[in-house]
Amino acid sequence: MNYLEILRELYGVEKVNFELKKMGKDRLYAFLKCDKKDELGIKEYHQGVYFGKLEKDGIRLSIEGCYLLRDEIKKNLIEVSYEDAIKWLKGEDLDIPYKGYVVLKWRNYFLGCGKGDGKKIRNYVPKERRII
Amino acid sequence: MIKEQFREINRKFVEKYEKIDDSKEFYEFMAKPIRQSFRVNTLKIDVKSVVERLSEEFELERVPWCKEGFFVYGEGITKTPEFALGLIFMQEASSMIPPVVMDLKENLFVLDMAAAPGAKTTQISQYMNNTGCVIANDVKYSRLNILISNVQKYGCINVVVTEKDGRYFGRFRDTFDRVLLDAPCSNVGMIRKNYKYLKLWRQMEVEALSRLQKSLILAAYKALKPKGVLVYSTCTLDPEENEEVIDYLLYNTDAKLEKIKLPVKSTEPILEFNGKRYSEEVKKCLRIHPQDNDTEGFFVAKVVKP
Repeated sequence: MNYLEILRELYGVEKVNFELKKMGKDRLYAFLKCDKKDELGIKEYHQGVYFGKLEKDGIRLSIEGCYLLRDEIKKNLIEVSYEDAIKWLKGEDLDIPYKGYVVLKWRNYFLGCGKGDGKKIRNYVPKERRII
Repeated sequence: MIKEQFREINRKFVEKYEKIDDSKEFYEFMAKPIRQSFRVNTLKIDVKSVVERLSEEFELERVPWCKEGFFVYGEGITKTPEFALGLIFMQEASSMIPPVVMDLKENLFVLDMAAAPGAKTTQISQYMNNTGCVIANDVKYSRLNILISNVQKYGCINVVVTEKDGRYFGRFRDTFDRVLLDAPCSNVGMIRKNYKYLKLWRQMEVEALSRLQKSLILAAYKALKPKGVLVYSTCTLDPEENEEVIDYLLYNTDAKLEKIKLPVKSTEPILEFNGKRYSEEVKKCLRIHPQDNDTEGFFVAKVVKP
């Protein structure tokens, strides 16, 4: 699957400076190739940063996925108020009429990616990353 | 008197530390709660943006020896957007020193031999601007999850996590540009965080750790490229785990020590302990007692390979 094509269509991303691999059913991980490690035959326990979920209709970026693409995202990026940023980080949906995948930003803080149904943006901030 | 309270908890500890630092200040600071500090994750954000925003809610004070490090006064720093988003890493200020002195730059091949929980790993990754490759190793399976979780949260795509006994890497002769050995230790520096480390301290354990540290540092040095930098650190103050380990490396290899020049107050390294005389070279190491900078006790040595 051409992940860059999906990223281009959804977020206007023209290039990525890392590799992407699918692990499990639908989780995408970002990593840099480490040729020296491979030459030495060092077996890794884990490599890669969770980048986003591969959905039927696109890629829903993780918070880190948004940061890795921060200079490249040109589409479906909205700036929210401080109040909405806090609501979002508490795990609440936002009453913003938006349809489709969207990256949220407050100042130069990327808050992650949600999905709008035309009335509100559904929250996907993982529980362990929420503020109480 | 605090020393007497310490004696009640662990008499042998106090008997030994009377020979290391018997000052009133030492015990005062050993008993004083540690100041909170964090490092800004420049892989995600610039220092200025975070400092400006957090200064609206907290009093911040720059850590003199780390330009991304700040002491923070006030409650609730871990309930902020900055913490949730992985823009700051809660890290004890003295533990920011090892990556600072590793002379890191882009595209290096780096080994972090005892990496969990990953504070220094993520700091190394950020100083390499998420390029090159960092092998973040830990022998303890139970500690790998927290290491992976931090590598994830701080967005370090140049990190590969391995689960090996650190000595395994000795087979890769002259391979790594930089090696960090933040060695498993008796954690005396962490008594300020938790008195359990005072209760747990045993001289027998110190001696066992010293033997392990010597074998780990030899492997680390073997794995280091010529002209490369090896940084050895511990968060303890027992000479057997610090100066003695460095003395052992100097005696058994062609390793050279480099003086660490940072704006940090320190205590003179120990040149003789319990009848053992160490090389004068160990004067170049950094021995930090808790009262020096109001931090954890810490030890750092910077080694170069000719």
